Amino acid sequence: MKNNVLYGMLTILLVFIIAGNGYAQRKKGDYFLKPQIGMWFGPVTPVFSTADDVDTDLWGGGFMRFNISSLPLKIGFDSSYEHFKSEGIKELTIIPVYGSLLWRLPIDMPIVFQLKAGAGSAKVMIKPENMEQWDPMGMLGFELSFPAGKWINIGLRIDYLFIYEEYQKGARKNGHIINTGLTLYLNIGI
Amino acid sequence: MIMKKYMQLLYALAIVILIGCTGDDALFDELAGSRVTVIIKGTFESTTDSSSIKDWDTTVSELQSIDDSVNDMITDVIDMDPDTPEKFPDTFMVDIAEMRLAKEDGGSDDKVAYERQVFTAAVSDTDPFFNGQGVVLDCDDIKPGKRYGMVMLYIRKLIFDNATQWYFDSSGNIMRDDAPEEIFHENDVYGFDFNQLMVNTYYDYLKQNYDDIIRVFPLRIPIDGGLVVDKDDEIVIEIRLVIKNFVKLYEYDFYNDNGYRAAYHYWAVSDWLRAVEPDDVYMGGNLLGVARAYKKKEVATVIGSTASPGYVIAIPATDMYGNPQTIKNYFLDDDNSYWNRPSVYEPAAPLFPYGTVEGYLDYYLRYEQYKVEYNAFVKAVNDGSYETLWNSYDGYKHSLRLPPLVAYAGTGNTYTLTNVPYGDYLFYFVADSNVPYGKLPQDVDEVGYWSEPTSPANPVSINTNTPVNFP
Repeated sequence: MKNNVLYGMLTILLVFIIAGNGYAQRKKGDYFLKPQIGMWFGPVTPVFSTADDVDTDLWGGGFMRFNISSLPLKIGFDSSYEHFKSEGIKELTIIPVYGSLLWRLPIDMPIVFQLKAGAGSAKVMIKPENMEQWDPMGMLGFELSFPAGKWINIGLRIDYLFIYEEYQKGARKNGHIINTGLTLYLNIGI
Repeated sequence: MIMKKYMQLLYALAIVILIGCTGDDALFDELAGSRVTVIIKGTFESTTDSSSIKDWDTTVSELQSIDDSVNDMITDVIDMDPDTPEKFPDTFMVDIAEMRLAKEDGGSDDKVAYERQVFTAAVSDTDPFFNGQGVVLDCDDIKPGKRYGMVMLYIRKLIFDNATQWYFDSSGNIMRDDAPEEIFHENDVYGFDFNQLMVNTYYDYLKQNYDDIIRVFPLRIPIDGGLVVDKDDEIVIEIRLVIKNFVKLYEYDFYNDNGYRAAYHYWAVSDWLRAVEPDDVYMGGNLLGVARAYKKKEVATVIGSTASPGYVIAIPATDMYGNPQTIKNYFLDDDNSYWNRPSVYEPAAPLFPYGTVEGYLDYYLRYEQYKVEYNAFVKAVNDGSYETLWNSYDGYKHSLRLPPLVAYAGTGNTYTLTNVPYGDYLFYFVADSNVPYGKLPQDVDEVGYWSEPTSPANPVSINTNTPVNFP
């Protein structure tokens, strides 16, 4: 009887040691450092002056990321397709294409927090005027993700897109959009 | 080394990304702005010159502004209550839900103003709604290249103040009650909303979808000459609802909360086109409107003189398809057999009596008469003659076109007609004596009803400010 209790306790201890070790190993092998491709999907919301003209809709985009060496920094390239309608006949389509730098917050948890900033240009198309052009743009954002196995991370993102037009003669407005989305990251090894 | 490779890649992509910025237009300003101005007026006249718009005639009298639909109650009221007679309205209130533009034959429509807008206009010759200036309805752009033929105005409320309420007490005496109230723009106001009565009398009545019909939601207003815009055109869409000097007092019978026979006396648009008779509840089809569109930079002003006070009317020499037209394409003919309302309609049930013996006897007599009339009515509905008659009547009334350009020659018999788009026009003059209060020019066959200008003669080509004089 006494022996049984002892064996039992030893078994539990062993399980803890093995499992603990396994947990530590998983954390050590950080697949988030691998090059990534991914996509996101969610509500795209015009804000500030842009909100006066068009309404929120549901769209998404794709991205790819590379880690810079072993630093907590990534370089990313994003693009998306966002089409906004209004109650009337106004329509706005934006295709942003931009590069960004992502900084992973140094928090020792399986959940990854990233802050990001970027710049690029956006194709802007409006109706009913049927006009289109490329405008410079900037981006600030935040991402949160957690691993779902070795290959996949699942996350949430919030981006603020600023489409700059005010530098042009006669222009008094810029574009302001907030994207929120569910994100799927594929950690692909090269 | 790896770092350097990534940085080079980053620079290369940044250059590719930024080199794409080719734009020199302000697209977000373009998106927010509109090249279309929508103006709503409450006048038959289109001119913006306030001296060429007929002044309000605010006389309250039975031959003029009190409609024949007002039962014998009104005379009693005037006799009984001489200190507080019915008053001409002081304020007109409009609540517009949205505005759409559609093709002439309907089809898909475009929302151009989709936020609720309310207007309050004083019944005076200086209020912008009634002096030719008009009030602006905020709106979006419209689609370039699309041919629009109709404005659809979704009207939620049309209220005139100075409505009154009366009831028969248990002895049969007419008593004045509190003035009717409405909610307008989230506030209680005194007045009566005649928007709710805008169902075409005896026409929409017996249809299965009767509950869905309200002739002002939307009010379909034809755009005379149609509307097509280029991308850079600055366009004005002028919508005129005929209100000024087109207002009458009507009676609306009901039973009040105490069970007494009661009546509202309310002000609404004239029943010139579709007559409202005693005991009629509905008065739809009488809110008349016309819309036109013009380019801000391609208009001229026409000035001229006439022999007497009256209306100067101009219509394009050709319609939107290029076919020649005359004033006969606009006016109706009151000698036409469809002008008068068919005599077959659902008879009105007699009202319950008040508590006198004479009242009861009168009621039962009327009830017998009602039963006989109702049998005849059922027969007419069953054999289809009701439908044929009312379809012809309503169709004929529907064919009325209001002229796009109108000015009033008043003081000194001169007029100024502004914002006349370039083109060829036919000018006509209808003397004031032919257009009594609450009526519009309509008679196409009467000799001498209208006259044409002599210098220059019709058709008149307008491409700059031009005088057009009538003999």
